[in-house]
Amino acid sequence: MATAEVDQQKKFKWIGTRPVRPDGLDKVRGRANYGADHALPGMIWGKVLRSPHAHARIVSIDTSKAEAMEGVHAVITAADLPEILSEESKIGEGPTNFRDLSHNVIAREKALYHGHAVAAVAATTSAIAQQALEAIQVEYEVLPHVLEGDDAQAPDAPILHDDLFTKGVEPRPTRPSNVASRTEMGRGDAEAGLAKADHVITRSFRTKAVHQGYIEPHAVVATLGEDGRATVWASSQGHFMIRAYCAKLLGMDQSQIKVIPAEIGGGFGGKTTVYLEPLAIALSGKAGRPVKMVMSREEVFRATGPASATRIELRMGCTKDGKLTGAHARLEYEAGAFPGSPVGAAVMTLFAPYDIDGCLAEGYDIVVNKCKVAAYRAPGAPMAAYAVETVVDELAEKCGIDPIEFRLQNASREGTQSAFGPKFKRIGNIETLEAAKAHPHYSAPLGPNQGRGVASGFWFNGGMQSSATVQVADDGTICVVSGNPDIGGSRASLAMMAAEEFGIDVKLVDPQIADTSVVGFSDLTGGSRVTFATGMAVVDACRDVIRQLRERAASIWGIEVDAVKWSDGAARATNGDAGLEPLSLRDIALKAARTGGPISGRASLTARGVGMAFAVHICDVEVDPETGKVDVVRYTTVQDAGRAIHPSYVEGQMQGGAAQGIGWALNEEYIYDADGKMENPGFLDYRMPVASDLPMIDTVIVEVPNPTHPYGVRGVGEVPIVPPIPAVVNAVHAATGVRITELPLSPPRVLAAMDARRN
Amino acid sequence: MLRLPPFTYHQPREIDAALRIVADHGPEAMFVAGGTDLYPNMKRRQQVPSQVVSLGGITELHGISGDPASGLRIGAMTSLTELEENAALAAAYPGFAEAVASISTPLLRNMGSIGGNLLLDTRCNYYDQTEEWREGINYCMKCEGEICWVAPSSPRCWAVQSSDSVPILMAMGAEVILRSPDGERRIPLLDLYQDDGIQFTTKKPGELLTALLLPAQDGWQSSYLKLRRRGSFDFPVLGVGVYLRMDGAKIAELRIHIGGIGSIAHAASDSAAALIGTVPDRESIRAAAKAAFKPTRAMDNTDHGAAWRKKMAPIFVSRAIEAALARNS
Ligand SMILES: Cc1cc2nc3c(=O)[nH]c(=O)nc-3n(C[C@H](O)[C@H](O)[C@H](O)COP(=O)(O)OP(=O)(O)OC[C@H]3O[C@@H](n4cnc5c(N)ncnc54)[C@H](O)[C@@H]3O)c2cc1C
Repeated sequence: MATAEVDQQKKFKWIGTRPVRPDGLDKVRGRANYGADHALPGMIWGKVLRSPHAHARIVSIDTSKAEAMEGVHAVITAADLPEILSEESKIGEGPTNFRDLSHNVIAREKALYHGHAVAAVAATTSAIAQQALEAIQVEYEVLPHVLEGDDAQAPDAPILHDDLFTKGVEPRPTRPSNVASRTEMGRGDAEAGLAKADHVITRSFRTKAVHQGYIEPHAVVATLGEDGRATVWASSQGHFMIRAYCAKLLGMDQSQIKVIPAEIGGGFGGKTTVYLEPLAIALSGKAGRPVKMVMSREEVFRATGPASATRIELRMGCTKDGKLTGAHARLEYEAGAFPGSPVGAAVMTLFAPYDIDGCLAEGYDIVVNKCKVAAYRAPGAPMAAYAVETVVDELAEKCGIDPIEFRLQNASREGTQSAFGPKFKRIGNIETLEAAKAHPHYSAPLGPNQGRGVASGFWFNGGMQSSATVQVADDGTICVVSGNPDIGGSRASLAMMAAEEFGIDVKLVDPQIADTSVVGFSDLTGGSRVTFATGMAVVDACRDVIRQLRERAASIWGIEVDAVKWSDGAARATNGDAGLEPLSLRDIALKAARTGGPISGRASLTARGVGMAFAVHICDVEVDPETGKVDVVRYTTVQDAGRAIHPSYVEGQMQGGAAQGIGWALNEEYIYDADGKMENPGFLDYRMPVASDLPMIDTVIVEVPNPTHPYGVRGVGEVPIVPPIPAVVNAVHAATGVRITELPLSPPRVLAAMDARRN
Repeated sequence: MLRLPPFTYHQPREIDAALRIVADHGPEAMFVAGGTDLYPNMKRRQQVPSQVVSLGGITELHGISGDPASGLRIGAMTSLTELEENAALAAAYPGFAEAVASISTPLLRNMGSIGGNLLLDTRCNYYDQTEEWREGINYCMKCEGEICWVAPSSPRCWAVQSSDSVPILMAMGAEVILRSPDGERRIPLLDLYQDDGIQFTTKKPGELLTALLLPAQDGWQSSYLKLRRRGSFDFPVLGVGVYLRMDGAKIAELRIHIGGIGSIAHAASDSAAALIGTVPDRESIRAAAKAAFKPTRAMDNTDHGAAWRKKMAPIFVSRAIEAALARNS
């Protein structure tokens, strides 16, 4: 990596400005092509048959009636896909085992949740495909099911997987269990630390499964030819991930699959795995036609990956003067039907904002008969922050110390030994807390029935692998090609960094996202990594091009390349050679054919030196004393972005994270009936906040540049969802005196807590 | 994606033509106004008319006439947005305007008509689901099934009256005009609705609702207060309409209807009676509103638990009365 030191004093031309995003006009004019917009000649429609039971053995599947129907071109079951051996995936977000992934895509032997795919059909119309689904006869042997993490751990609980033995416990268990693993992480001696405390708070928290709520349902078009080569058009957070997963699940080589990314209508972590794609390829192979599959909203809710439901027990202690001395957490995260909740990330992140001598977190990954969870912005962290940040609030109150002051006294900083391993490098925890404390919101007066809460949040952010190529057209314009779907404005940021490198107008840079056969491997868009890591690759590729431009100029001028520098969009001779007018990018591009051919650069890298992110949110609520309804009346997010390349999209991330977190705190939840059927699988009944439910969310960008990134970038997309839950809950406490330890804070729950306190 | 079932779409220009098509096809045919209730229901296969008769092209059904002093006539096809934006209407009938403005979202109010809102299908957590979902519970009494899942031993359906305009219009004593090939009848809304989740109106099949008639506005005040989780989109899970007239400091007349909580918007007559003839204050209003607990038969078939919604009824009744009184002063 040829990434330079950050020049903190340097004045930038483009970094920090707000040009219109290159993908903006197409999106607002309805011209952007999303997953479901693609169509091919001869294309037919695929649909999935889903289990009506939460747990059942599949005794037999008779597809003959469906196959015989006019217009039906293919019917597949698990038998049409290869058996996959247990193997941990190295790519994707969160732990994934390929055998589990295969079984989640289509059930083999057992259906493990209500909505689990058991068969799929492809037919000339979606109506015929629907009728064909109804003609498939599945004989189920219904098994007892278990829906809650607590119940799943009971000695007599129905076991989901006979071959699942709890990992990470000694001695090795001899009986299968629904507890897939135990992990722990800590620093020092937690119990000794707690013993030193003057105040110890012990609390137990519960949160429900919530969905990312992306507007665009999963959609794919796939074609598999007789030559065994497949092309897939899909909306996802990573087309290389789709290629790798489909190859694995279908027993193909990655070179046989080309994945073309569509525009993506939101993902938030939920599009970091496959559901329909392998089925569409398999159906296309059997039908000999391109197959399109689009989920309904109900399918998205029932059969994709929400965030885990959790139960957390937490003890934290501090001295009378407010020094945190010890902490212990037990975190139980539901993974859904297959192992792989983000409890590991929760265990690593929950104490990160604090410098605590003795802390220990134990995490349990628990399978239940519900859909398999997926990543959701800072996976696992918001629920853990709910526990830690509300207990910190309570400790601060016990000590009579202002909650931001309390956090400052205990804040981790550069050099602090983190509980998850490394010592913190340059981080902006303190700066963010100071900025929150100084913000006028923090000292503004409150009205009747109102209260104010604050909370901190932490997220590591990701590095991983990225590639980019940069091409110069003969008119001196630039095409920046990368391999990461743009879910948060990354094309704008990449183009701006390229414009900054070249010293040209950002309008002359065309950022494109290329398919898997055009650009080098790129890990998926997740972990808040694209502007950081793919940005590094783009900068490196630009510098590769600039080196070549200097060489061309040197050869045109007949001087040494070392005597040519690049600045402000032109090559300039440095030794004062008289009469050598600067050569602009355009001048050099025009002469490219005669000076060595087209000019292009490339870079592929594993990004190191991730800049970790901290955020502090301030929330004011008003609680109706008669109904228990909580209204968020003012909200401010303060976040260290390292450096905001395009501040609007940083602010957008901060506001979006806050909005989603507020929804999680107040209203959102998966509601199941006793049979494990989701009762609210639609946007009318799964209640995400809408514009009328949120105040304007104020943003304060703090810039503590990440020294290892050429422009100081830290990831910004995930940490804003970490503080909102505790910020809201702490505000409700300030307004009402009640501390609510179970989400969501729906009016009946808040009223019941207030009534209990009044009596 | 949920798709509409196939159907034949008719676009008559005259009321008589519309009535004839529906008469010819019998129960196979349904009118559609804005379609914001019917089409989602068709996508979920709750209602599957093979003939859909659009009212959009019948100019006679559009628009507002008359004036508040003698009463307003509102054509059934008048959009909710048009009502919401009518300043004279809002000044004369603030409770009705409030109810209209609280319906769903601006986009849906552009499409949704007042006629469709009056005839909005009743709602229930076990009914307003996709066909696949309902098939999974073997359907329910309201559509294709046998049982009422909220009250399995009940002989009747408990789907919920969910139109926002109905409680306040009932309190106001509004009327509607219904037309059939046999002629026209004018009935108070009180007679249009009945307490059953399936047969929730007395409108005969094939009858067209042509207009809503608002009473003359002589010294009455009104308010509507809606309980729902979010500030838009959500249907009411409790909606209180209050209509009152003062005589000096005393309440001369008071009518209260509570919607969103049973299959009909019940009158809270006891609460009203306790306040009529009195000089209201905060205490007396709260005391009177307690009686609103009784007519609210909440079931666990909407958002929020039945117990909490029932508890909210007296609170919302008090607040709605206070809002109407505040308007009066
Ligand atoms: C997301 C969402 C949220 C909503 N929220 C609310 C809400 O908060 N409050 C609320 O009250 N409503 C709500 N609605 C329902 C609906 O949008 C409104 O009630 C609207 O006013 C219905 O009017 P329409 O013209 O679209 O009716 P349509 O769907 O066209 O018709 C509804 C019914 O009335 C019949 N009909 C319509 N006009 C006539 C007529 N003139 N004569 C005879 N029969 C007729 C139709 O056959 C049909 O059965 C919501 C809908 C959606 C989709």
